[in-house]
Amino acid sequence: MKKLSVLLLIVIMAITCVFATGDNEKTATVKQLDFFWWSDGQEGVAMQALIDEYEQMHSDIKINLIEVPFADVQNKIMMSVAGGEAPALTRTTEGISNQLYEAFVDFGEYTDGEALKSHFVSSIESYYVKNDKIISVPSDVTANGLIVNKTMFDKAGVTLPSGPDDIWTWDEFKKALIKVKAANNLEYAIAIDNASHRWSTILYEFGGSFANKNGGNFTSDNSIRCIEYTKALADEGLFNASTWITFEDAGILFRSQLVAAQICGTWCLEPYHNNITEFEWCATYMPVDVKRSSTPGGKQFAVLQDSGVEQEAVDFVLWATEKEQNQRYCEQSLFVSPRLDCAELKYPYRSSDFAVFANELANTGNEGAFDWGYPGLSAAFGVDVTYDFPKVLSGKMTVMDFAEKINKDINDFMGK
Amino acid sequence: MTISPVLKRQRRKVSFSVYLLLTVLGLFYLFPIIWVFLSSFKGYIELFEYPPKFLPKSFYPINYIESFVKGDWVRYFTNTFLVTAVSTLICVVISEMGGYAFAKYNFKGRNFLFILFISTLMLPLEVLMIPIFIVIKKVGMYDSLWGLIIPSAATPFGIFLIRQFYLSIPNEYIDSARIDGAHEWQIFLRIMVPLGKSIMACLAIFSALWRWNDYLWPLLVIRNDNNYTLQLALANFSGQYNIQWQTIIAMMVLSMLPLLIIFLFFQKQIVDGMAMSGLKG
Amino acid sequence: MKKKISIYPTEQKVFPYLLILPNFLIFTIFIIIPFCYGIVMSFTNWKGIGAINFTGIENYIRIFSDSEYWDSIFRTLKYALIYLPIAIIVPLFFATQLVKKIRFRGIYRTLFFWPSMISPIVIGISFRFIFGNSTGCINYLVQILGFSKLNLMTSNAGAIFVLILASVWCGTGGTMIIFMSGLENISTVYYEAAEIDGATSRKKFFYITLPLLKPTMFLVFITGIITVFKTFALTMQLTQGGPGDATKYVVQNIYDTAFSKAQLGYACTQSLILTLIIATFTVFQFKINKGGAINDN
Repeated sequence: MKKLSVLLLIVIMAITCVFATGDNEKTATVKQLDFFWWSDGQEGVAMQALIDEYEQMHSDIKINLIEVPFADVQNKIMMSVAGGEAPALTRTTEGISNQLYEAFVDFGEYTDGEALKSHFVSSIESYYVKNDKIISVPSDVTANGLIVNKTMFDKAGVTLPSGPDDIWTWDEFKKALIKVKAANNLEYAIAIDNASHRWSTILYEFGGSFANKNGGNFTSDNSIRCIEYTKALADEGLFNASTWITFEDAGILFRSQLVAAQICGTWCLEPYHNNITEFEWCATYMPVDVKRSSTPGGKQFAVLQDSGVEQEAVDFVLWATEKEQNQRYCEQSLFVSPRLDCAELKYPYRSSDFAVFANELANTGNEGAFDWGYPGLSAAFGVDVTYDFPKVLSGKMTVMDFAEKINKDINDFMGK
Repeated sequence: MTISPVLKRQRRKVSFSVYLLLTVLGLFYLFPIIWVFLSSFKGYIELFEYPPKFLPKSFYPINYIESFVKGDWVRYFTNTFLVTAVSTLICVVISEMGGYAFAKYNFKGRNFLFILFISTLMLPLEVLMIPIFIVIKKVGMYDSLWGLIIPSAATPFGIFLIRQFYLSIPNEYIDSARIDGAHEWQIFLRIMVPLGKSIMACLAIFSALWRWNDYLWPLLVIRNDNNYTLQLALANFSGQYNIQWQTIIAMMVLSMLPLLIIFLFFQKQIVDGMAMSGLKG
Repeated sequence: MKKKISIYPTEQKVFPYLLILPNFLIFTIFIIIPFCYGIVMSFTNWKGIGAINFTGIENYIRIFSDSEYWDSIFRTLKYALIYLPIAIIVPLFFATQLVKKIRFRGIYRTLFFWPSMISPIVIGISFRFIFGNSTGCINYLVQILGFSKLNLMTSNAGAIFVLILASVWCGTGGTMIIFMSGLENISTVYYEAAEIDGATSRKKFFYITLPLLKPTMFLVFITGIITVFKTFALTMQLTQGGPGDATKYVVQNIYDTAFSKAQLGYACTQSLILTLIIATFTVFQFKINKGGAINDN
């Protein structure tokens, strides 16, 4: 028995040695590019198709799409850069870029920066340009917006805005929510994904913002008004604050018909289309207070410094974000394109909803881009907003204290 | 193995109320597990529908089938198994050695080293990710399964566990063996190790559990898809906006099976593997 | 007590060092060296990327007035005070019953251990299924019965309750088998002698079992404290620190500082201070408990 277990152990260790060394076949002529990636829907498949096509055109390049869990992309890149194992490229968001842009290559050194920027929607410029350096290239853009349970709204006899000229005000929307809540016997009418990025859409509509070039703007009259309005929505039982307090998934509430409306974004269209069968839903126009606004988001492709293959990576990124490739990528992944010349994409479904979001994006000012794109700013106030706004809603913190705390975070960071 | 009269009497003394309590608590413990198991048969919408339903619409294993094509699961399971097996083996061996040393020898620096070991249990490793990565890279274990096996084999918990066990073994064993002229290594291998079978089995369970479910080390060490372990692969199903719960739950259910087998094997060793004859003499 | 009675005195001196060598080697390379890096990082304001700027003892001065940090430490302490007794007594109870030859003990042992095998992400979602505010089954059942919703997860006490429930649920198994191992190690000789003296099972428990379980108890207590202070994965899945920051314990605070606020250098300072606190406590416990050793009797 003993001899058998010893033998078994030796066999296991031998197998481990074989497996543990992994695939290290790197021929000198083929350049390997590691591409950090995460997927929510079909975009991984769409990107792989682009990669396959590119590899066919360039037989000396091999691009490895490496899936990394989204929550750890930033950490993984930091580690890899510090340890000298930086990947060649990575998919990135404005949040990630905010922290890591110093390790990204400046595209302006490889191509005409102004010409490159001119292809893309101007509202997201601060997401990919930091300190006048083009540190990434946009691949898709997202917009925050309103999605409603049409079946429930119809039952309550509420008509949705028919077009961009028929936008409702927040007070009108609030009355509509009260009607919908009563007619459908709901506990709450609306859910908002989170207290920071998603809620900021409302903040901008009220004419407020987290910051501006002079420093913190969260204690301005408009910002305070918005915080109080949100609190009133919760107090009056219209807004389900538990999504912020207990981090419940607002999407689950919407899909289970526990709320009739959700403030989310363009990324919801594909999963909702695939999964919601029990009721009719659609995107509709966000209400207006002082102005219309959405909050831009989206992803970009960045190239890392010191990987040894920067030129090849830059070439790929520039190719993949050209009109033809980007159009295919966005249509297949159901994204909105950031390119000005790709405004009319053919989506297999839900094109009217995409059009609503596109319209919202086109009517967005620059506050969002500043708050979320200013290098490092969102890290300074994001955590506190996420944990302190719920305290305001449950009455444990006053609106003024909250606003002043966030303002202080911002001013400390910006050095004002 | 004959049951001593003491134990026989103890058996009769376990009252009905204890059985009842154990059963009721057992059911509480079971409930979430059953939910997880049943949920592995539910589709995406079904998982979170309201009003909540306990039973799935059908027991057709669609999640398992669909998930299987989404990744090289055989590879991931194999990697996880290899890492777990070898790391547990090394962990038990070196902890046994270290724990015995701390318990039965009074060497210079003993207390300081022990406190140092234990205090580092306290370190939030996440913060040290970057330095650990640099070290792993420098010793050449980057993107290799050895990087998962070796570093986590030296766990302070292991030494602590073994040490406490040997503290309760009387020193007479060692003293009498020394008088008889035995070498230290002979005392260790021939007397102490056999005595420690049950505690080593206990450690083996912990080590296997931790290595199997480990996420932080694979995240740090592994780059290539070939070397992915189960938890690392599953984490990729948590996207930025969507978490593919069906795949995660289905694969978690599958991954519980090997762990269960490991547990069933070793727990017998803990309780039924004690040779107490020496002490009675 | 430590008489040198070996006829190989050099061997006796050298052997322990050989024994701890493998552990010590791995430990030094993979833990101590990064730890030293960490100490150096704690004197900088490094973000994890870009230039490293040394800021001297600025971080250490800052930490003394960091009310959020100290709040999170006291919060963790309070949580430990409630959690630890439960986390020791429950497994001890199971262990004492399940080492006896009762029927179905194998099944019970497996049942109580099984939750330890489940990863936090699945624990989080299954407990949210039960206790979730809007979509949980408890609230659903309560509402069907006509009562108003239990706001468990939205209240501080409720969230802590759910967290303790989940932690005990998945932590019992491990502690249980440690106790089982410790109990098995107690020679039946002691029990037989007590039987002859006519001791009741209660007397046996308190005068034989518990004292002889001291080394094990010491281990469980110390590792229990450490585990509580490191409660991170489960809280992140269950409450994410909510409601507000009622369940935001110290490791989450450090993690947020490091990665969400991009202050890796300061987070290292926080980690160091935390380690120092725990180490001091451990040394203190070590001294008063003599390292968990049982005195010769």
